[in-house]
Formats: sequence, structure tokens, C-alpha cells
Amino acid sequence: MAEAPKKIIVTESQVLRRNLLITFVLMFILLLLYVVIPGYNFAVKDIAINSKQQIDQIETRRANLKRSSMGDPQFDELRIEDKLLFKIEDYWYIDFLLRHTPDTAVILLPPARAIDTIPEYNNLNSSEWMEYFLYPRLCVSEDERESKKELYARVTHVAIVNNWGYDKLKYNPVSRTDATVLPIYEPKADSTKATPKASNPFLFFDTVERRKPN
Amino acid sequence: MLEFVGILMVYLIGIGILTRISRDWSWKELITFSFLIGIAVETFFMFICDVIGFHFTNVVLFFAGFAVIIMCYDSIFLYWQEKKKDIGIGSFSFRTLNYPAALLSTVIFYLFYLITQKNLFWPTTERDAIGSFDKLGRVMAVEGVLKVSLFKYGLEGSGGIYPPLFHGGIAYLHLYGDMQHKIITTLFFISLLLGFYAICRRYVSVISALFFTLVLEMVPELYAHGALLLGNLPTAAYVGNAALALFVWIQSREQRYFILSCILTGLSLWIRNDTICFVPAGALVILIAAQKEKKWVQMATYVGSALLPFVLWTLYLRFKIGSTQGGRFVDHIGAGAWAKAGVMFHYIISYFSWIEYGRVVPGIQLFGIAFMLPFLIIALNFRHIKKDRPYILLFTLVSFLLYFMIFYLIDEQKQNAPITSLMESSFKRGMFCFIPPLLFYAATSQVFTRWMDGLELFRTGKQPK
Repeated sequence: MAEAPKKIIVTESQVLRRNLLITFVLMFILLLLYVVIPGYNFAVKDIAINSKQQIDQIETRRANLKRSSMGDPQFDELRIEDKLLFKIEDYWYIDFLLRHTPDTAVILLPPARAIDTIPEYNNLNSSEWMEYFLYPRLCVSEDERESKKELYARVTHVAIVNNWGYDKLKYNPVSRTDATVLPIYEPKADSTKATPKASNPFLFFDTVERRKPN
Repeated sequence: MLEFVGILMVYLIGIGILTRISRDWSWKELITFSFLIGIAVETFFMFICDVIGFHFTNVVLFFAGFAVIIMCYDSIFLYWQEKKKDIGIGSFSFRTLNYPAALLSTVIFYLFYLITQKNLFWPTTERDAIGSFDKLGRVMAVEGVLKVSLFKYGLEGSGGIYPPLFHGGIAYLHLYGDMQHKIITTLFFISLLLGFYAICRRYVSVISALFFTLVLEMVPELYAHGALLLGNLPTAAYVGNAALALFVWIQSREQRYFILSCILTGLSLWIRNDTICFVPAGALVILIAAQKEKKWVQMATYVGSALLPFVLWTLYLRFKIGSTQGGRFVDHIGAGAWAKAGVMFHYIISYFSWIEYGRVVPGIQLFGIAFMLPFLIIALNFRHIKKDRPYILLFTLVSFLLYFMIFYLIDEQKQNAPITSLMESSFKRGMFCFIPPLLFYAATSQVFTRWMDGLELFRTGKQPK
């Protein structure tokens, strides 16, 4: 014969007290895990809470600027480009490349040896990485000169960084700056025009501590 | 706004297919699996368009998806008719509220909100996503083909040989609007957590199911992936739910779970080809656990449906892209094989424990208690190990050994990465797939269920069902 199920009669207030007791024990267990296991501390504090604080700081700064600029629409919402400038250290230069090259350009990127002294440029020689931003333009790194000969032969522009790349041009530019982008052949019109200079802009959220992407 | 139309289409396609299989799904199961199936169907349409030389756009995919919904309209309508009477707020009393469950739910939702906010605020910044997945997705959306122009110049990145489910899904969202395509990570995370909870809840109390869902959500490395556009979390959603559905079928013999497991295992191979290690493990478990007279048919159905996407993608790679999936493996096992196995073994010990090895932090920091807690429960449950659903452990063990073998056979020179680097990146992230089956076993094990039954008896004064 099957055993009859146990039945203990408990009142509603007993259920409430027992529920609260278990909740406190559970809370203690969760806190213990948070304190004792470093991974949980990292996940909750560093990944979640610090990130929320950073987002809140940026949004507060944007709202303050909007208020002080009498509702300037540029502070209505952060653009993707603004966020990329914040997270990707060399995005200002990538943005410069986008603004100074046509969609049909094939851009020659610097080799690793030309940028390895400047951590800010750490991905600039990676054509796979740069293509994400530059598409529909194409790009090839000086490091891929042998492995991607066909694309290398089609280069139309040179990404000049840290003064590297002037020797790749088929002409002498009017002036030289340490970071710019120039066509490989001398442009026909307005050849006396000074070389545009790429510079890292001061961002309105520069007061917020920047963090590298995970 | 248009993006939400695209997401709604995905869910409706999935709901249509699921209700065609059965109308017994709970709403939690329906939400979980409909996204996983719906997004895969859309990428399958992209694949068909590409093969027949037709460029896909959001209009093409909308009407293709709409056709599926129309074909399944009657079953969706009948499901709604049957289930709408169950919709209700229910009774509520502060005196009898399940406070531990309320606490766990609050923690789960708040942590989920935090990671979702982070995910949706920041654009893509992860190296692998920029170098491959998101780039492929964006370019696929612009060009309307799977074999995008970047393949011609070797600019597709390492994800170029991966099956198209993940970057196809990104392309799908790009087609419907360019702003919030990272929402795909959040939707996969919902499917992983809700699917785990829904299946666990069939066997254990609310508190137990919520506790283990929290343990799954808070795996530190997995949680970090909740704000990244990488394929490992979505893969874990497919593999985890496929495994859990298989275990439910073995236990309950409800045919719908067998069909679901076949579909999700196939889709695991439509998102990432190294998940092939789960197919032999599943087939072995079916062979052992299925009814005698049907076991060969069921095993063949499972293996056939799982391998179909793999074969399709291998043929596509071979004839359209001109690449192979096996190109990165060793030709023969030579000197240094033992040393390589030793290094891998040390990493695995480190991931399962608190011992540090190499340049990576130990498992307790990467995975929290997600491996150690199930191992402890397995040890405590040792007396019942033969009777208490050993197929779950067999599945996990066999698939893990095969997963180990896949990495062991990778040629470090062809891959252009030493084994230490592979173990610290791909292998580590691939271990997400083993967490749902292990946590499911721990949650539903005899020893843990007995403790939780005792807790429920104390809490409510009633013997749990």
C-alpha cells in the first residue's frame, strides 16, 4: 500500500514567517557567493553595475549640455559615431579616413612596425578589422603586401600614420602632417592645397573615464 | 520601429512551426523555441536565395516568413483558442507569497536588465565581431548574398567559414534597421534562460528552477557575453535547449520533444560546426534509452536531421566559397602529441576548479560555481548514479570528450594559433554549451530534489507533488 502523504497543518502567518526565514537564508547565500567567489564579484560589480554607472554619467553629461546649450538638437541623443569615439581609441582617425576618401577607394594601411609604439593605433594595421568601418572601400595592410598582391596593386590611397607612408606616394605633397590620408597619385585639381591633418577631437564626455571594450 | 516588425515576424514563424508540431507547449517554451527556430528559418531563406542566385532584401524575407505564418495560421489560431482561457493574473496575497521565488526573480530580472542596458547602449566593439560576424552581417544586408564581395579579397574574417545562422541573423536585423542589431544577443540570452527555466520547472519547484536559472545567468563569462555580439552564447542557447529537450523526451516519451531536439541539434550545426560533437553523444543516448523496437529509426532520424545543415553548409563551402571545414586539422598525429594533450588537460582542470594555469584566470572566476556545484551534487548523488538518469552524464561526458578531440586535432600552424591561445579563447567559450545539461542534472538529481522537497514541506506545510 502506498504511504499516505505527510500533512502538517500550518497557518498563513506561519507560512509567512517560514517564507521570510528562507528568503533571508537565501539572501545570505547569494551575498556569500558574491563575496567569496571572485567571478561573481567581477560579473556584478565590474560588468553590470560599473557599466550602468558609466552609461548614467554619460547620459547625465549629455542632458546637462543640452540644457546649457538651450536644447541644441546635437545633444538630443548620442550617435553611434559618438559612442565609437568613446570606445575605440583610433576611431577619430577611421572617421577621418571615411570623410577624406571616396567609396571606391582601396586604402593602404600601415604595417605593424609603424604603429607598435602607439597603443592607440593597435588595430590600424589589421585589414579584417578596419574593413568593418571602411566598407564599401577596400583596404590592405603593408604587412599583406605578399599575401594579397592583387589588392595591393589596386591601392588608390595611403593611410599615413606616425609619418609612415609618404614614401608610398608617387609625388611630393605640399605639406606633411603625422596623420592623414592621401591619394597615391597626385590629384589633378587643386594640387597646391595643404594636406588635411587628422587630429583626435576633444569629446564632450572626455571627463568620463574611458574603458577598453571587453 | 521596423526592426520590431522583423523580430515579431521571427517569433511568429517560430510559433507557427512549433504549434504545427504540437499545441501542448507552455507559453514559456513557445517564446524560447520560437525565436531559435524563427531566426534560423529566415537565415535558411537567405541561403536558398543565395543558392538560386536571387538577392535577398527585407521585403523578400518578410513575404517568405509571412508565407510560413499563413501556412501555420490554423494551428496558431487553435493554440490561441485553447490557451487564452489560461491567461489571468491569478490570486495574490502578501501573506502567502513565495518570497524566496520573488527574491530570485527580482535578482534575475535586475541583472538581466543591467546587461541588456549595456548591450543596447554600446555599439559593436569586440574584435571578433568587428573583424568577422558583424562585418559579414552588415555586408550581407547591403549586398543581399551570403558569399559577399569580401571573400574575393580575403577580408571576410575567421567567421567566413562558419554556417550562416549567427551572422545571417545579424544581417536580418540590419535589413530591418541599422540601429539596434545587438538586440539579437539579448533575444538569444532570453531563449537560453527561459528555456532552461521552463524545462527545469517541469521537474522541480519554482525556487529550485529559479536558483539554477540564476546560476546559469550569472556564469561570469557567459554574463559578459550577454553584452557582446559573439556566437558563443547563441550556440549555448541551441545546444543547451536541444540537450534538455532530448532528456525530456527520454524521460516522458512526448514525441514533440524528440522533434524539437532534432530541430535544435540541426540548428546547432547551422550556427557553429564544432557542435558536431553533440550529435554522436545524442545518438548514443537515444540508442541506449529509446524503446527497443524503434531505437534505430529514432537514432537515424536524429542523426539525419542533425547532419542535414552540416552537409548543406559543407557543400556550399566546397562549391561556392571554395573552402573546406576540415582544412585546419592535422594530417597525422606526430611527436609532441602527449605534450599537447597534457597542456589541454591542465587547462581543463583549471576551468573546472580554482587552480590557475596559463595566462587565464581559473574556472571559479570564469564560470563561478556552474561546474563545481554539479560535480559536488554528482558526488553526493553517487549512490543513485546508475538509476538517476545516467544518460545525462553520459551525453555530457561523450560530447565533452569529442569536443576535446576536435581541439586536439586542430593543426596549430594551419590555424595560426598555438594550443594555449585556442584553449584560452575558443575552447573556454565553447564550454558554455556544457553548462545547461550539467545544471539540469544537478537541479533534478535525486539528492537535490529531496532537499528541495524538504524545504517546500517546511515552507508550505504541504508535501510537494
